[in-house]
Amino acid sequence: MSVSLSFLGLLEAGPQHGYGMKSVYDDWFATSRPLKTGQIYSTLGRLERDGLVTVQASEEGQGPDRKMYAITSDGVEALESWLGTPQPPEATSLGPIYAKVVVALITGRSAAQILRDQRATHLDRMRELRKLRDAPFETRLAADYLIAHLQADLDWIEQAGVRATEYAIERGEGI
Amino acid sequence: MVLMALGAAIAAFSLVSIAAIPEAASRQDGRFDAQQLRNDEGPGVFLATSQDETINGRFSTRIAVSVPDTGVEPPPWLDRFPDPGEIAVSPALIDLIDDNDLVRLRYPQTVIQALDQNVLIAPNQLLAVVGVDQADFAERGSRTRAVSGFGVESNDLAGPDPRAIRLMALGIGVFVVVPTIVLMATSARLSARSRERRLAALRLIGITPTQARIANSVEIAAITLVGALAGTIGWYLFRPVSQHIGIGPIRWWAADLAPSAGVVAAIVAALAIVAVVVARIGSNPAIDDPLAERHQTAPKPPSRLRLVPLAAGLGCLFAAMFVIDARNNNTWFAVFGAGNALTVLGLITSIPFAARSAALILERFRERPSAHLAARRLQHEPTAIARTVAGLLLVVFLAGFAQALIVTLDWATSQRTPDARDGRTRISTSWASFNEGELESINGVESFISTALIDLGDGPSRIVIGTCSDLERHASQIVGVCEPDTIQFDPSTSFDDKVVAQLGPVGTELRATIDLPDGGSTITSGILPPDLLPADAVLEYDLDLAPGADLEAVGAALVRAAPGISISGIDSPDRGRLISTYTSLVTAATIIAILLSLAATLAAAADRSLERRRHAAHLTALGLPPNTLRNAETLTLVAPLAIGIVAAGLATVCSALTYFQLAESPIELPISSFAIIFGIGAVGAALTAITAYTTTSVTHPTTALRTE
Amino acid sequence: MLRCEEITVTFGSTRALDRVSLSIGAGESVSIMGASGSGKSTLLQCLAGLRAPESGGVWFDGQALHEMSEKRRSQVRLRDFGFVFQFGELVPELSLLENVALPVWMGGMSRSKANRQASDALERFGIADLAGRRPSDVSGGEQQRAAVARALAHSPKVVFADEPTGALDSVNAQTVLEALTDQARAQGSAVVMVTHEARLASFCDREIVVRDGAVVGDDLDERLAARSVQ
Repeated sequence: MSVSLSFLGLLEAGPQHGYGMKSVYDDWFATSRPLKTGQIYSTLGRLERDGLVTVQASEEGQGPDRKMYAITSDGVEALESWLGTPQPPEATSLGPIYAKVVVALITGRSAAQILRDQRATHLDRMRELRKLRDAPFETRLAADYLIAHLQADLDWIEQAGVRATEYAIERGEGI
Repeated sequence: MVLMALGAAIAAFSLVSIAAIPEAASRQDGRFDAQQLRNDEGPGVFLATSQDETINGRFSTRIAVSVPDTGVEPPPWLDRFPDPGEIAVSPALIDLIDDNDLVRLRYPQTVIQALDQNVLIAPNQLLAVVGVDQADFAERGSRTRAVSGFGVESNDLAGPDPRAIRLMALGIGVFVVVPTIVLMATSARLSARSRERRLAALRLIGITPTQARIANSVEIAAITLVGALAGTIGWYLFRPVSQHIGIGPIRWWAADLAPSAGVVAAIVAALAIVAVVVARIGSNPAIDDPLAERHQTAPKPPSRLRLVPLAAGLGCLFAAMFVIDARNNNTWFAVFGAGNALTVLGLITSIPFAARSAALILERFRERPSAHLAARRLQHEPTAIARTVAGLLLVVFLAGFAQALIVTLDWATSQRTPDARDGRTRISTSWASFNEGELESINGVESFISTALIDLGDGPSRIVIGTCSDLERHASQIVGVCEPDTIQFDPSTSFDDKVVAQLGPVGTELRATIDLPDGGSTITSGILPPDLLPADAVLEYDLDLAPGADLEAVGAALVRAAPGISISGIDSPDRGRLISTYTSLVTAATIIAILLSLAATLAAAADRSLERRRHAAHLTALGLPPNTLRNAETLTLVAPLAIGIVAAGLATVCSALTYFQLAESPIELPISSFAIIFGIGAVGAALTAITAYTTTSVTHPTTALRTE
Repeated sequence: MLRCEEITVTFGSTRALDRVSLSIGAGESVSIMGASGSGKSTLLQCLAGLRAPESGGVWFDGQALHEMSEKRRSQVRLRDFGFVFQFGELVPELSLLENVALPVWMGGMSRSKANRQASDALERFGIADLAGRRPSDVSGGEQQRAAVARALAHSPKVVFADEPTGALDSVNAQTVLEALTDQARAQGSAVVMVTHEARLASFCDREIVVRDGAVVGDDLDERLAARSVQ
């Protein structure tokens, strides 16, 4: 969802080609998830179908790269509405790490092991991200965001360790 | 906390003692006066003499009385007048009579009464009232008086100078109290850290600075009050015991120590107030900014106002030395006292400047790490360092003042004590009719000269009875030529022709100077051959003793030969004895002051090192050589100390020179005594340096590095 | 370059370190993680030559630290080690410049040279304009940066940091740790950092975890792991 809306933002200043938008998008977002070519055109297609963008011109015979896309007034409205509405915090869902720990506790496996491994992985990833400090501004902004979230995960991993111990004691599983 | 209470207790004890001194002294004065013979105008009521003498090296007073039967009232302290062969005597003398054969020889009489604290100046006074036949008095010559009774009113006789004793009390007060205050201030600082933590916690939970300050003051006042009360109660408990202990030869009646309740209450209250003020002057950052515990705020440079008390004090001393006339002048004493007090205060408040100067000097050595660190420390916290070294400066100043006191006392004493010249001692006896062969046979008596008081028509004059060779042996100066077997007189004597005709052939005029045992001299009016001596003349003998003669043995032999004899020259007179008592007191007080101040300084130095332990530990962890840190801390304290000691020493020399104004003739500055003062200062500085060096402990930094 | 083998330290009846072995290569940065009382600070102290272990040994550049006299160890610390403490622990009466220059100067350089080197160090950490100020006149973050500058000014082989950002807010903590690890890397200094926050461990190349005096894979409840293996 946010991919398509980001594209609307890219088009607001003026019409652009598909390949141009990919380039800009990758500058800002590729740190996390690089966009596949197919995804770009399916996204643009959806936007067109929904009437939020139109195709202005296209060179004949070439592929979708050559199409020039422009935002519609509906598109502008949709963009404004999205930007003006804060993201509900609950939208952050309990991710896979959480699910794994829960399953471990339910099935009697070692939650400690899972948390330990996850932490090592997180730390490695954080190290990689820290190396991006000399990168362009766009990349640094993204890296900061990712690092902060990894830190949040790490904080929870620490806490989870404590909770897991409490859980075991409560259930009489301590030694 | 315990230290603060202890300091308050010591201060209270000392102050109450001092407060008791003037009253005790005046009571002693009163009893001294009661022992004196009174000679009103008109015919006397009974015959009496009072003589001071030595018994076993101790001062003793013997009052001989011959009372006619006609119902003369005895003084209130005497049950009845002793008859011939009886004595009323003090218990200390009774003990001596029992223990000592010679003394028993002296006092073979029957004891009819043991004198008590109604008349005795102190429990250990040797006093005897001896009953004597009237006929015996005839031999005693001039010193016998017809008296009307006992007890005089005025106290300007040989009694202790009332002004002096109050000055003593004040001086001793300063010696003991000021160091005790320093000790209290130091112990307040030592306990400050835990108090600060509590205060910081209180502030953080919302108590205002004013409330915290009040809480702090109340705590300090309470601790001080408890300590002061304990000290006062201890004093009252100790009082009866003190009667049996005394200070050296000095004893007193416990009942004489009677400070008024108002004064005692004032002392206790004053100590509490002083403690609160002193603690308040020391900054209390926890009250103002409880979070500032961690982060030290940059200190302000010391204000110039701090130099004012010292300048004022020295100004007063200069005024007392050059402008105001000394002696019998209350203004002089007030200015002198104020000068000293301001100088003491000024020395303490000016120390931060000494610290700054020390910093400037050390900066010249800034290539050396310890000097550089020390210089920076002195610039950073001159006031804190000042607090640490203040006590030692006080020691130097007070010790100097004590030396000045002792010197003037010694000078006063030397005016009256026996003067041994050429290794010989002179003593004289009165009221004796010796067989001269007896005198010569006494071991130690080299030669003697006898004199008599003979009325030449214009009152009694002192005449040498002897030959020309006697005169030449004893006189220090002879004007004229001595002609044997003739009477010769000092030309200034007025004499009756009739007297001269009776006495015998007259020669040319002669004048001789004979030195007396008490250091004075007398010019005899003339010389008379022994065979011309009138029958009723009473002889006195001046004896020259051989060098190294045993004074006690000679005295004992004389007493054996003539039990009624009075001997002067073997002991110092009454005033000298009291003065030496004062000297002992001053010395004792000085020693106490030195010990207290030194204890306070060393405690403060050790406490400082303790405070800096964390810094030292971290610097050691970095790898700084421990000796560098130790040297830095030592220099930090010793550099301003050295400057301060010199300043204090000079100030005390000023004070001493001013004090010497009290003497009638100029007194020289005793260089050796003042060298000792500087020596004491140097030793104190060395001890402080050693304390700083050794307590900057850096061998186990890890304990201070624990962050958990 | 720096290693310890089977070191044991006991306080009274508690074993603070139990046969711990660790090896740190030149220029490597290692974070030692663990809860309070886990022994991590003790481990750092042993590695830094501040505390001699009761058994086992510590070797630095081939020299046996645990066999040296305190004086020799002190010299090693001065020349080859740098230290960052939790609360900065700068000397309050010296300016920031003098503080940073202190280990350089004491290490044998002349004062003017030491000052220049210190000035460069302050420059690298962005606090050159505060050189003349005293620690009490600057903020906590600036103090800590000065402490880091002091630790690195003499180009030590190892920098030991004990909870270096414990007293700082998260923004300052980030800045200080970045500065520390960047500069250490640039100079080729190894870093041994003790922290109890896992999120800070990412600033170092690797982490080890200490619990109850032993190096473990993690600090979570070993009992759970043991139980789940059954």
